[in-house]
Amino acid sequence: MSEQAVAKDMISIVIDGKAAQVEKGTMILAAARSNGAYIPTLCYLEKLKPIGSCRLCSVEIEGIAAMVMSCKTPVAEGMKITTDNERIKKYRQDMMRMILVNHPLDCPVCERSGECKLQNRTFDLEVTGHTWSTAGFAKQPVVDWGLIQYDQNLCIMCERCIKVCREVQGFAAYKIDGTGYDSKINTVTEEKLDCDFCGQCISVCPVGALSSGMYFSGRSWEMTRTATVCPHCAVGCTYVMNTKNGKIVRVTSDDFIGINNGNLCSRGRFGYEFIQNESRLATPLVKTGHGFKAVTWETAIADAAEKLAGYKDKYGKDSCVGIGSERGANEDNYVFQKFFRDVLGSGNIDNIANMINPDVCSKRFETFDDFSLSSSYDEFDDMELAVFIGADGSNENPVVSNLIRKAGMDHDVEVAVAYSREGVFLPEPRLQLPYDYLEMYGFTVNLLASAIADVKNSGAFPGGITPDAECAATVTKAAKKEKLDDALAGKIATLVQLIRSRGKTVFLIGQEAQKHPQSSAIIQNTVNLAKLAGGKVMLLREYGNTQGVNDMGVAPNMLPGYIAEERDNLKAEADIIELMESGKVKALVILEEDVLRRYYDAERFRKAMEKVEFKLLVSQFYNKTSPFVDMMLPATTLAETDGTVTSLEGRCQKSVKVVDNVGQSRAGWKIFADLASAMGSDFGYEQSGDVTSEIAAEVPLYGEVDKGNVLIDYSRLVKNSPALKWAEPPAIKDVKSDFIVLQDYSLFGLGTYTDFCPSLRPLLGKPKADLHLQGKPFVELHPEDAGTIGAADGSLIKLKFAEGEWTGQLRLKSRVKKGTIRVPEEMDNSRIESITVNGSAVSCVNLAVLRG
Amino acid sequence: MPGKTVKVDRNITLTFWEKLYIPEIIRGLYITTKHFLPNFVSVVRAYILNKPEERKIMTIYYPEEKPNIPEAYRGRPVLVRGEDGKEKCVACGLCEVACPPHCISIVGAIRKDGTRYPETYVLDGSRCIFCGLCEEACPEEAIVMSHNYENLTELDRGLMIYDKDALLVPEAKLKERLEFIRKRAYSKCNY
Ligand code: SF4
Ligand code: SF4
Ligand code: SF4
Ligand code: SF4
Ligand code: SF4
Ligand code: FES
Repeated sequence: MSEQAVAKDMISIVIDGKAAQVEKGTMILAAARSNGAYIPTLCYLEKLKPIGSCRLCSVEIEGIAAMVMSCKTPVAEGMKITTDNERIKKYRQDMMRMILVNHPLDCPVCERSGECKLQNRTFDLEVTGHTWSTAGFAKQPVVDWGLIQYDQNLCIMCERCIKVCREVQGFAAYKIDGTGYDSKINTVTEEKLDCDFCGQCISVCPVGALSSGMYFSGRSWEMTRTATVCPHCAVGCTYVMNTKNGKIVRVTSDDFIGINNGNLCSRGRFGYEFIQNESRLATPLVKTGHGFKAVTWETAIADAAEKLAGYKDKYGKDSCVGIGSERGANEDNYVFQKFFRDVLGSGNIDNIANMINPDVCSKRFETFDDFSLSSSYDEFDDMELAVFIGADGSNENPVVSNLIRKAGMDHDVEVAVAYSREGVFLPEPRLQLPYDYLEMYGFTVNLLASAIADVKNSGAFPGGITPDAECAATVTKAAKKEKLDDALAGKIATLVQLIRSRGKTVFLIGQEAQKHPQSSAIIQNTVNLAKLAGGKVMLLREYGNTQGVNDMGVAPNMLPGYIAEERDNLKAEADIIELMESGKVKALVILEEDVLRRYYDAERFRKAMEKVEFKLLVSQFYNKTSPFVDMMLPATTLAETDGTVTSLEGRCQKSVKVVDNVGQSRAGWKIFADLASAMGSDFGYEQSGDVTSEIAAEVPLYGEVDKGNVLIDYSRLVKNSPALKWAEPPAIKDVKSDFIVLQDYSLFGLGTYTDFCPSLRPLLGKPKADLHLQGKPFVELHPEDAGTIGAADGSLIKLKFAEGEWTGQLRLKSRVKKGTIRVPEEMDNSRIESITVNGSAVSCVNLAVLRG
Repeated sequence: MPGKTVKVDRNITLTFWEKLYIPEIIRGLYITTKHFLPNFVSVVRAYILNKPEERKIMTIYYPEEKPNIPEAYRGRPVLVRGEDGKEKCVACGLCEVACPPHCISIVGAIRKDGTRYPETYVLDGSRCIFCGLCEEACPEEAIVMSHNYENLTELDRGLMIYDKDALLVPEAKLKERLEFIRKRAYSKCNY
């Protein structure tokens, strides 16, 4: 932009007698604040559109008799603004008295006291007494809205909650009910609140009207606040742990730190109870004839070190295998792999994400050739179209959806969602493309072919490339083979036109695409499409450090920083499970993972475990894998140790120690450093910072991590070629069954941590509000499918698992694709052995069968 | 701005008579005797005549006799037990934060009916400086400075830590003080 153009957008105004230049379109409030004037506000919130309900921000403008609300009035050329004088002050005070007229003096028992905007503004404005009075009211607070409680008596009707739920969360759960003094906040449905329970509304409520049901016994000023990284999913949100006397009492958010703009999801905001849970492992445990026996750290470490050293000497270097953690810090994983490679001399380590699909983990930069794959949230700044491919973004990585909505507030952003069911993004996106799970590859190749055809007919997309003829022909031919139904084909054409008409497109690839049997081809198609469209691709990630564990080289044949491992004696056999099954493996070490819960073919893994003599689990909890191991060592969570974690966009962020270690638990890096020194190699770490420094020194990709939060630059790893690359998909297994069982992601649960959050548990199994009735999980089916198997809405459905049975109700939903049975999160679909509806068996296939 | 130096006359130069020393001793003895003799005569006379009420009181027979405590006196802080038998305190923590030596610690909890109360309320009497700021901070008239000044010291500091049981005093016994803080001390009548 030329300087002249900049100057054109600036206009001159006068604020309190001082001339100022501000950008056109700025609101008076922002202009005044940036020029040092103080204007009190109550309803205004930077991340929302101006609301204009409190009128405290009123100012005088020369030539206008009435007071003007500065938060929602844009500046105009030559405007003369007065931000404070006697009249304005009197006016603001009167407005405040009006707000306070029936606000009870409940500060001593109100949770917000001490951080209450109403208290602060009342104090600033020197409002000391009442001028008017009304008949007061005392209404019963609403306490049956799940994790949200609403007290009408305290509500000042500022509407922030309504707006944040609509604009930021996209849910639009609230409305105003009634008029005048009787007005209150109610749910849109006028029934119990059944929403995302993200708590955004609690965080913006200026008073104590909205609070969480998780009563905390402290007061605002007693809290020690520590900003750290959320340990649940890979978005990398920054949240603020509030502790009182060393106990975590709540989680709050801060609009101005971290990437998340003060937004959190239910897991982040309410899922902290696992940290100081009484079920945490407190001491090292060794299996005896009957159950586990507590031992001291010295005994446990000496015992484990002796065993591991023994196997190494007797059976060679490959006799030990390890599984790293997608939740542990980079430090833990780094020391874990160092212990394996340097001390045990074994390169047979892996992580579960990589075991499920190495193409998107350790082999990501080999398999896909485009740099646009490593995109950061900065891409959202000028994005005009977001396309989810195989992603239930709002439930997998909830705050990414918030960031997209935020981008949509700043400029126009359209959203298109391709997923195996409808209704996973709110508000209703511009375009939904529900495909059949098995046809997912067909869908992407058709989308690509359609884009190529469009380029041929109407020229390249803005910013995009033109494909070479040969590749175009291959894609077109491949697309012809995959038949799609007309409705979806029509939607594909619309999407292509949408891509053409919009500016930058960001494609977000989710778990369904990443875990699909034809994943690589699906993702390559998407990367090709991004190249054509001149867009970017972002890989969503499941767990807090799924990115970091791979960056740290906890994968076979891959050193930290994706450097191919070249020492030949270490050449790992890629598949840990095969190794275990072969009987060559004598020891298995698992770092902070529940393999039997997370690995899709759990039964196979359990059987393979039986062949291993010594199984060591480093864990925070007694989990599903625990019964089959020989020793458990208690590990800390991220809240008890300093460390770094890497988010899905590749931002390496510092996670800070907030509370003391629970029981005798130790950080993962410490445990493996201790084991190493018991085996004769001293790593020389005193504290986790030493490991961080070593990572910075040793891992080229992570050169700056000891200096603070950094966005890792993966571009050096990528072969950045503009040409399209063709990837042939593997044939999908021929499955002869009527249904595919698919699992829905849940906002309220992710892995072991949320199992130990009692407040979130009742919400689990509620992927979206409409899935549930009175909190009971439902299995969903398309209405037409119901007819063929003779079932009806509400029929009893029985799921049989290896470890038991579950009976629930069937719910018919036209938003579900035909041929799929949707089970809620905690019904791990890979474990389902059979399904019976109304007593008769349904032929169905689950993901484990499809992959295996 | 540099501070202004103020010269203070400390009057440390002795006069000639003061330097002589003896006259000052005599003056001192005179003051002592002036107080001692009338007191002594009055006490002995009252004893002989068996008319204690005629004794000119200069001292009292503590602990058999107790002094009259003025309203504004700040004795041991106590918690008020309301007429319903429950503590008036709502665990707002304002006294906790107002207390200069940090001797109060409260753990709040919530009753079934939604009201809040202190699950534990601990006041460390060995640290209390009897400043009355807790009383002033309290929005609920739930903690007041009582007239209790006796038996507050112990040989063991641990025994001076008061819990809720040791602190709660029925409202009826604190009427005067409550009246006083309402009317005179903090004008809390508008709460
Ligand atoms: S918790 Fe979130 S989704 Fe629910 S009402 Fe509040 S803002 Fe809306
Ligand atoms: S509940 Fe809170 S945020 Fe919502 S209108 Fe009332 S005061 Fe405002
Ligand atoms: S989106 Fe992910 S990182 Fe953010 S609060 Fe939720 S679980 Fe935590
Ligand atoms: S009187 Fe002063 S020192 Fe004693 S408890 Fe009250 S505030 Fe603390
Ligand atoms: S200030 Fe009063 S109500 Fe608040 S905690 Fe102290 S004694 Fe209780
Ligand atoms: S801040 Fe402008 S009206 Fe509330």
